[in-house]
This record gives sequence, structure tokens and C-alpha cells, in this order.
Amino acid sequence: MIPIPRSTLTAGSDLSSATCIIGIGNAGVALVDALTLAGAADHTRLIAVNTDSVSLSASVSKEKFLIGQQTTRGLGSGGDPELGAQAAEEAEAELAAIVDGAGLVILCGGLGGGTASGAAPVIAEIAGRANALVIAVVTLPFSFEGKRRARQATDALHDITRAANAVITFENDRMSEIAQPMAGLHETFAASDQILADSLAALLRLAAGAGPLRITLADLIPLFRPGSVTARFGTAAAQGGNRANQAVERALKSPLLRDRHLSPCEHVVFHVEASSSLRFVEVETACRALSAQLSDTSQLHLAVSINDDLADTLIASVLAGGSSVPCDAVVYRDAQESISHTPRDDSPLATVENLPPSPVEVIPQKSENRTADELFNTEPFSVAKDGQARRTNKPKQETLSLDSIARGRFEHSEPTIVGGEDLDVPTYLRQKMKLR
Amino acid sequence: MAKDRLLIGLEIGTTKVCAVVAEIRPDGSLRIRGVGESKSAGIRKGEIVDFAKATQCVRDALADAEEKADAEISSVWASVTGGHIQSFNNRGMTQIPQDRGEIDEDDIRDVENSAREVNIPDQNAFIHTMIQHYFVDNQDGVLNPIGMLGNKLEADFHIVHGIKTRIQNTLRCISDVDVDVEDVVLNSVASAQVVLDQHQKDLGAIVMDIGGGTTDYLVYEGGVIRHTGVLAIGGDHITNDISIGLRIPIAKAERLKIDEGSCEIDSAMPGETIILKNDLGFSGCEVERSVLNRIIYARIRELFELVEKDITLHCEINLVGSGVMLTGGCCQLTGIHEVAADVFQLPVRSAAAQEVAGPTSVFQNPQYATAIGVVKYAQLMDVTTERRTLFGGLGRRLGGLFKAFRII
Repeated sequence: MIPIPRSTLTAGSDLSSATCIIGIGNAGVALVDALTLAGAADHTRLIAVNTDSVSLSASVSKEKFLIGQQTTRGLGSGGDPELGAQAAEEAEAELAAIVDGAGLVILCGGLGGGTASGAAPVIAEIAGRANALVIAVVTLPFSFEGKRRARQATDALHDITRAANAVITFENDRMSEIAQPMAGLHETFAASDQILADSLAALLRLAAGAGPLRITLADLIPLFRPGSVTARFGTAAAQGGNRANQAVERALKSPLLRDRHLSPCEHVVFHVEASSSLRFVEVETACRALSAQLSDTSQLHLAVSINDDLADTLIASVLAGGSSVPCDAVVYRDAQESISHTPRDDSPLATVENLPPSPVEVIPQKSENRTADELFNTEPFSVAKDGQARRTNKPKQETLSLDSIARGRFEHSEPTIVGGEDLDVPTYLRQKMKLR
Repeated sequence: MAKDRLLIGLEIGTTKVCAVVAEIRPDGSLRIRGVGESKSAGIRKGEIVDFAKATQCVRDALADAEEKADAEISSVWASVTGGHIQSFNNRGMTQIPQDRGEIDEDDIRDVENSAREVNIPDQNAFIHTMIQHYFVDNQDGVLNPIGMLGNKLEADFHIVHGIKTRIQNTLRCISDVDVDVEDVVLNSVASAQVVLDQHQKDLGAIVMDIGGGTTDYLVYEGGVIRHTGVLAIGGDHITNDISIGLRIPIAKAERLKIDEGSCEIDSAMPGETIILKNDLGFSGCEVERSVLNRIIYARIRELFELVEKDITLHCEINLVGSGVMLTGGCCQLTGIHEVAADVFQLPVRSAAAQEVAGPTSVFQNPQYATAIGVVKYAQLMDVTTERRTLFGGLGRRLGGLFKAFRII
């Protein structure tokens, strides 16, 4: 299951009610299920679409739609995109009714098989005709799944790119960068699902965020004209005194974006989300950090949302498009950093949960016997030790002094964290051992 | 007379930088010619945090070694460590072409490459790919398959990898002093080469090198390396704990740890105190011995427990026949063996370098075990590049890796 706290999916905006997420094929349905379980269905329409009736009946999604009742008789497409496309065309009228009135349609699915590869381009076209902004979030198959699947996925991607306003892709081969070498199969797939779910959540927040500087659908539509579509997407969260810089840097340094630059993108949407503690100078810093990566001609659209559930966390998302470069998607997780100081005790999943904005969830620790400041000190983001962060978090003066003593000479070094414990803090303090 | 071949082992540690100059004697044994040393600066938890200072330390240590050994150093073997280093075991497999049937060196390379076709984080590089066993057509326990007939060659490897840039930084420190780096070796692998003899490796042994900033550990089972690990906890942590617990400056805590440190919680008399003399900027105080010992005990016990937990996760600890070998500066702490024996339930010994000749003061001091181990490892690699034996292919592969580093 994908742990997306409800708070990351912002409620209460008129835009989000006009948003619908359609999961196509088995992978898409699984993602929609995960989003449903996480509570996203309360403010967004989630629709599961598949050719396989068994998969649909197992889905927890409220809206389910079986396509291709004549073509496949509910048996699935058997990996044939032709069948998938026929199935969608057969149900064109019903699909048109589903997307009718939606301002933003997000399609998700795993390319390479039959249903998503065949149906997604058709559904994108239908949604496009209904004047919705269509964003596709898709995964590409592992290279070891064979050349045939890879070709089907490439063809489908090509078709979707033509029909959708923006395509965000995630190559399954990139999973190695987010999971440890010997991580379990379940962990690895869960990490990849998490990436997609976070992308979706960030997209929803981008479209629905309430704040002083808003991006509306009307702003997005000219950005991503159908046909010329490429999208780069990155989102990252950071805490602490230097959070603005850190969040932007993380998004830009993400494993998926690293080899590619934002400079060819003509339009860049930059979304900053934080609690009302957000200061002007932080927005300025973040924008400057991002602007350094852009070309002189690219246009920066700034959006700022205030979400008081976020506490100390600042989330920066970058959505760039409008160039002729190949599309790709980026969500940066702090997994690499955690690998470096948690030798095999923590799965990357523990740190994947960094994004959830509630401070309790940020810290994967036994919290009952630790003071607030100790906790704060050991959270995965090493920036958290900065003065500004402490000012906002310290409850009283005594704990501040305890904090500065607790790590002593290791105050400014990279923490040694094993099993969620900061081992730089003296053992007797952590174990509450009586010395006298 | 042919000039003696010199091998230089360099350990850039958290407390000291240490260079050992050794010569290989005609009978193949090692003799230590001299040891150069300098106090470390700019290194924390085994990793460089101040490049200029660290480079200066390396320069001092190498200059010292040149003077002591009366030799000129142009290339060294370097040990690496750091909490970022990780390891795992993996099996590689390759099919022998039908028309050949005989296993040759290319197949060994293929099987090694196939074992390394594991996704490691993009920023990481392989440090070691160490052979454990070969299997020829499912025949177990083949030591050297070259020349054997078979259709399928498999091999188990122990693979060590770490963050590339951090290792490169260590190497840059050395190349900045105009000294070449022949190759790198993991701290624990180096230490194990001197503290264990072949018999102990076969029986199974755990080596724990508790240094200033890191604890490097390794498990030998059945003569092969089964597991390695690095925990970024070391003697500095004990000092830090003492400094915080007794509210005394770090320098005093360090002195106190070395002079009086013990992890025997029952040995102190009730109310027994240690008097710290006043000093410039320090007013002097009395500390209770039992408090000091408890602080150290808590840290040391936790350290052993963490290592034991990690080892039992990856190996069968019952197969470790010859027990735990402690080395590194911290193993001189009073009472540490009892704590280790209690945690591991195995016999525990402190070990320094064996089987080397030279000044006794050097090879009997566990602080030098790693640097001497690097030399020993270098000698092993040197031999295997000519006569490929148990370690087949390792030297060449590491050489290849190192060329990648040299492109820096």
C-alpha cells in the first residue's frame, strides 16, 4: 500500500473537484487503489479502467469501468495494444461521459502491456476533445522484460505524447537508484509506486494549491500545447534553516533529472508549498537557485501555496515543458543520502516517507523516550541542525542546550544513524542509563 | 643484487595517518623497514572533511616514513573506510562456449562481471569483488577453475561498494602529494590479512577493527570473506561520551580514556575517584571511576551489539570457529574482551600483526595493524597478478577500477 497521508492532497479547491485521475490497466488500477486507500478520493475523482474484469472487481476504487466488453469479453488484453485500443474505442461514448466537465485529467498506467499501451492514447484523445488538460503519468517497462515490451511501450508513449498535454514517465530501470541493491521485490516495487503516487500528489497540489500566488489551469494549458509535449517534473521536500535551497537542489539533483537540463524548456512552473511560516526571502532564494538552471529565454511561472499542515517542511516542485527534448519525470527522494549512513538496516522506504509533512512521520524513530529536540536532531535531513530550524522547534531554552551538548564534537558532522537512532548521541543518554 | 621490492601501505585514519614501508624478502616474507606517522586533522569518521589539512597529514606521514625507512616513496596502497561503504554477496554465472569446453581467464572475468550486474546506487563504485567459491557444472568448492572442463561456471562473490566521490577524495589527498596510488583496499580486509592466519580463516573468525572514527568488521567463514561492514562509531565517540557525561573538555576526556578508561562496570571501588589536575583553562576536578566506566561500557556494549546484530543477519555465527579478533586502537581498553565475549558468546582476543618481521614495537601495536595489513594485502595481490591463485582476478579487476579513479 502506498502511504500517502490525506494532508498531502489538498482539499477544498474548486480546481481539484474538476480533476479526475484515471488508472488504466493493471498498474494504473493498482495506483488508483493506493490513492483511494490514502483518501484522495474525497477530493478528486478516481476512476479505474481496465479490460480485465477480475482485476476491476478486486479494486477498491469507487468508480470502475470495464472497457472492451465485446472485444475482450472482460478477459484482459493479453499484452496486445491493438486489443487495448479497440476496447477503448468501443467504449468511446462512456469514456467521453466520464471526462466530461473535468478541467484536468490525469492518466496513469504502466506501458508495455496491452491495456494501458493501447487504451491510454485513445482516452487521452477523448479527454482532449472534451477540452480537458491531459497529463499522463506512466511507467516504462524494465529492460529485462524484453524488446517486444519495450517497443510496445515506446510506440504507446509516442501516441500518448501526441494526444496528451504533458507526459511524465518513470523508467522502471531507474528503480535501482531508489532501492538498495538487495532490497526485497516488494520494497522495490513499493518504492516505485511511491514515486508515482508522490508525483500525482504533487501535481494535484500544484493544480489545487491555495495561496498568494496561484497557478490555474488556464495558466497551464498554454504551457503544454498538445503535440509539442515534453515534461520534466521534480518535487522534493526539505526542512531546516536552509530548506528553500535544499528543496530546489534536491529536486534538480534527483537521479532522473541529473543527466538532463532544464535549460531547453521554455516554460517552467515552479511551485513552492509551505506553512504560513514561509518567508519571502525563502521564495526568493528558491527562485534564484532554480533560475540558475534555466536559460535566459525560459519563462518562469511561480506558484506559492500555503498549507499549514506542513509544519517546518517546504516542498518545491518543478514542472517544465515546451521544448523538443525527450520527456521524463523526476521525483527526488532522499534515499541515496540515507543509504550512506544507514547500512542495510533501513530500507529506502523508511526515508521515502520523508515527504509526508507531519513532523511525527518525518522521523522514523522510537519516539517515546526521546526529547523533542533529540528527535529533531536525528531526522534524516541533515540540514535540520541549522539555527533557524531550532528557533521554530525548540520548546524551551533547556532543551536547546541539551541538544547542543548531546552530539558534542559530532555536532556538525554527518550523523551515524542505524535503525533510526542517532548513534552520535552518547549511549547512556539514549538508553537512559543511570550513571550514579 | 636485485633491489628489494618495497611496498608501502597507507592508512588515513581518524586519529592518525600511518604509512608502513615494507620490503619483500627473497623468501617471500615481509620485513617492515619503517613506519611514518602523523596526527590526523581534517578527517572525521574515516572520511575527509578538510581537504587541505588532510593532505598535509598525508604529506607529513609519508615524509616521516621516507626518513625512518630511508627510502623514497613513489606509490602507495591505500586503505579506505567510511560509513557509506556497504557490502553484499552475489552469485555470477556464465556459460562456457560449446566449442571450447575448457574454462579460461575470460570466463573468470565474465562470471565476475555477471556477479556485478547488480544495481547499486548510481553514485557508488565497486571497491572489491572478492571470490568466495567457484562452481563448475554445480560441482561445489572449486578453488581455481582455469583449465577445467565444464559447460557452466558459477561463482559466489562478496561485493563491496561505496560512494565514489568520497573514495576519490581520499585518493586525491594522496595524489596531491605526488604519490601514485596502486590500489585501494577496505580497512577490514587489510586488517584481517595480518591478524588472521590461514588456519583461522578456514575455521572462521570475526575481525573487528575499532579505530578512532569507525569500526570496520569482517567475517571469515570456511576460508572466504562472508561479510564486511563499516559502522561510523569509534574511539572518538567514547571520548565524546566521556566529555559530555563528566562535563570535561574533549582533550581531557581523551587523556582520561587512554589513561584510566575501562569498561568493567564492577571493578571500581564504591566512591573511588580520579583526580584531574588543573591546567591552563581547566580548573581541575574529581570524577567518579564508576561513572567513567559506565559511560564507556554503555558505548562499547552497544557497539558490539550492533555489530553482532548485523553479522547474525548475514552469516551463521556458529560457523565462526576461532572467535573474535579485536584490533585497532580501542582494543587496548581494559575489560573490552569480557564485554565482547558476553555479546558474541565467542572467545575474544586482541590481535596485532603476525607473521611479519621488523621492530617489535610496530607490529605488536594494534594501532598499526591496518597499515601493515595493507602491505600484506598488496603483497598478496602482487603475487596473484603473476600466479593467479585463490584470489584470481581480483588484482586485475581492482586495477581496472583504479584506473577509473585515476581519471579524476
